[in-house]
Amino acid sequence: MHALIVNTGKHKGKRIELPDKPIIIGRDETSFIRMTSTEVSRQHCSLTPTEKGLLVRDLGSQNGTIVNSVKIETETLLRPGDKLQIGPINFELAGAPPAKPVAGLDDDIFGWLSESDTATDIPNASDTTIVKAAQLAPPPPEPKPKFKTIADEARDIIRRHRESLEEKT
Amino acid sequence: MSTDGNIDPRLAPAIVHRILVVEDDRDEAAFLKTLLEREKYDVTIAKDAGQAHSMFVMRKPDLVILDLILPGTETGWEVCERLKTLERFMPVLILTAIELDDSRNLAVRVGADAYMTKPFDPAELLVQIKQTAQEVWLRSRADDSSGDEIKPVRFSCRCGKRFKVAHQHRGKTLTCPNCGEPVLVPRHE
Repeated sequence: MHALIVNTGKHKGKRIELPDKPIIIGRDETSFIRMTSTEVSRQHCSLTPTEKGLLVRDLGSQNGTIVNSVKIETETLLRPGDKLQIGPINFELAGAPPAKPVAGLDDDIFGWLSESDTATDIPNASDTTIVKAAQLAPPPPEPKPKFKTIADEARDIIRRHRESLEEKT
Repeated sequence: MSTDGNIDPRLAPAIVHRILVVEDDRDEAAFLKTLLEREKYDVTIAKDAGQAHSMFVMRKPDLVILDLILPGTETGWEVCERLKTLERFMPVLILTAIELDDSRNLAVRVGADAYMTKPFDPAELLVQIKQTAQEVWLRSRADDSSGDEIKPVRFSCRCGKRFKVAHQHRGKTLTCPNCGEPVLVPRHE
């Protein structure tokens, strides 16, 4: 049994238990983990449990599925501790099996979702986890932009280009 | 009404007649002019950003070949950004000595359609001119038929702030009210 831990936003640290069968993450209502962000495709990626970890497959999503900061092109094995980025949300594959029985977790998940979600937003709360992007903080900060303007960036590139020419000569 | 109404316009080749070459090196510009005129292109040379903009408006080229390091305060990337704001589907081919990946990335971000480094193979440049023009032509056709003109553009700042702006603002830069950084409205989906 695998579990994903939410690494970003309001629900940081929350644990989502996964079943022992392939699941789909996406915007579609039938997804096991449903995300409402427009950056997430209807059927974004699939997760297939294996003995070594979770096999992640991108389902032709528009913005891609990112494992450990790398956009995956083929099926990729997600091992405990690996990061999975889907749209604005970052998950981590939990390292150890859950201590709690699964039965009790639906209520927990429902509890933290229901803080702001209406019942109509949860078509099937027992097996669907809805994570609203709007509730979460922005994605993990990318490296800070070094430049204020295109001109600044351009001048820096020209400077580095000239330095590289001087090094060659 | 056109007599060839049954022909898919996307199959028609893009026609390039006038080329604007933005190049400050006199020898390089002369070489390019000779090379392109031999291929029956009508060539205009601009030596800096100011001339590039004037020539662009006056001559209305079909394609621009653009050096990145130009005399004066404005660089080729900025020229590209401005030209693309004026004419979104103007093919712009960067021809530069800069091989840095950051340079290529910035060129893409300001809307450049192709990037070639010097020294270049003249035959390759001629092929690239046709390819670039064709690709931009196809994109413009796809854009016309998809009805994108009325769709708002959705994009995000690096800080996570989301924007939705009218289609006609593509290529423009705005300041993010959240973090104060400049954000470029994406030129393409």
